Amino acid sequence: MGRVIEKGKISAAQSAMMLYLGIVPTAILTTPAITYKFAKQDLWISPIWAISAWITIFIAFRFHHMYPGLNIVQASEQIVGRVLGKLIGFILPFFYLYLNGIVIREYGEFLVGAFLHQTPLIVVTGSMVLVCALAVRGGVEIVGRFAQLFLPAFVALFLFIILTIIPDLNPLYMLPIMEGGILPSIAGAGVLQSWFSEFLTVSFLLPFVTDREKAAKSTMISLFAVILTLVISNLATLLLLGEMTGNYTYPFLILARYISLADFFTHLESLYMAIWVLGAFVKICLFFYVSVLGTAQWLDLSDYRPLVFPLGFLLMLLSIWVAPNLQELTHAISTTVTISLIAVFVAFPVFLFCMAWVKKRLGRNMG
Amino acid sequence: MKWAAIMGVTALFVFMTMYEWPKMKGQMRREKTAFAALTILAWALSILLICYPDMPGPTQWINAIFKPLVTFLEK
Repeated sequence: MGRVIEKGKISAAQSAMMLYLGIVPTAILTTPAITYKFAKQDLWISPIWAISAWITIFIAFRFHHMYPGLNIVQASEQIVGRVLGKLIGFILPFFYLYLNGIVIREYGEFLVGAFLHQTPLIVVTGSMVLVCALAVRGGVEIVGRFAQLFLPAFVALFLFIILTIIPDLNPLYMLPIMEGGILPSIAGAGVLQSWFSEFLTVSFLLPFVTDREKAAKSTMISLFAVILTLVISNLATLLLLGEMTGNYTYPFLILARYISLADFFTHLESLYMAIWVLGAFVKICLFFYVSVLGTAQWLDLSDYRPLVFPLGFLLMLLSIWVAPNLQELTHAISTTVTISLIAVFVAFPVFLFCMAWVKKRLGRNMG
Repeated sequence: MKWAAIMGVTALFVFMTMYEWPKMKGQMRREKTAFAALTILAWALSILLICYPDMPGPTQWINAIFKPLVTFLEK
């Protein structure tokens, strides 16, 4: 049993908001283009196939039921023993660090590519990592409150963009629905699984939730909100851009750029960026926090705060190291990263869960 | 240029240690060891990345592990 190193508490609603902001910001940014490649005009159906989200949420909650107060890394130590548990305890936080490196790189490439053309990438990403490191030092409570603070702004802006773009949408782009049967939409959902599998993060938040009986319900609400957001953003992108959806790196940005209200409100993409940065901040903080907490538990430390800055530095290095340029990064996201995410966040916990279940059965029969 | 980058990174690490070290109390030996190990690791990696920016990274390692699956998806 690890020592209690986090004294902060969050509510079930806060954990749901953290999960929502931990998944949606980068998902609405790039998924319309990636999904379009496979699903064509059915890309708005793809987010409904959130299979890996169901699996990871189910496993996280079952684990928390079997081993109350422990996250998946601590529980694995109870299941497979100390040595193998330590190995798992290394893989998961390291993977969160790697994933976060990708997220930070995406964030930096997006800001530099779309807005701050003259700024060096390392300045954009470095300042973000520094701010996140300061927030993570504050603990899970601070990250939760940031999520609570930014979520209304994020959702309001999202709805604002969608509502103002409605007159320009062309519903005919949607047709023919399911031209090639249901398979293209499922193929498009393949890449989306990498976002949905991030719901495993709930396992690290559950031990800090005060009103646990509400946790399952609010996580479900969070999942449905994510699915709904992605369906709406994919649909709006498709109805505005039609067959051009796949040509843009950031189709949703084009949407924000397209808005022109009474020839007065134009260039709303700057507003979009401002709010999007807040969302990305919560996402990076959440994953950063998980990797810091996981590492501190892995090393049996009594405090995680000394690890924040060294790990933040490693995060910076990883964000440079993951890919040499944006093209290779996007390519890696739709192939390598997706496969490794499904392996580490879905297949691996399923395997662990089976072991825990068998162990429990055997234990009952012997006793 | 390389030397300037190495000096800059080293200065950053010195600042980081000066900020963090006094906050850890005498009995926090494990924390101090972990902090020192991670800092040295990050420092070594940053110097390696400055000198050899094309070093194969984690993405390539994962590529090597999941090669058959990756080639399947690339089609």
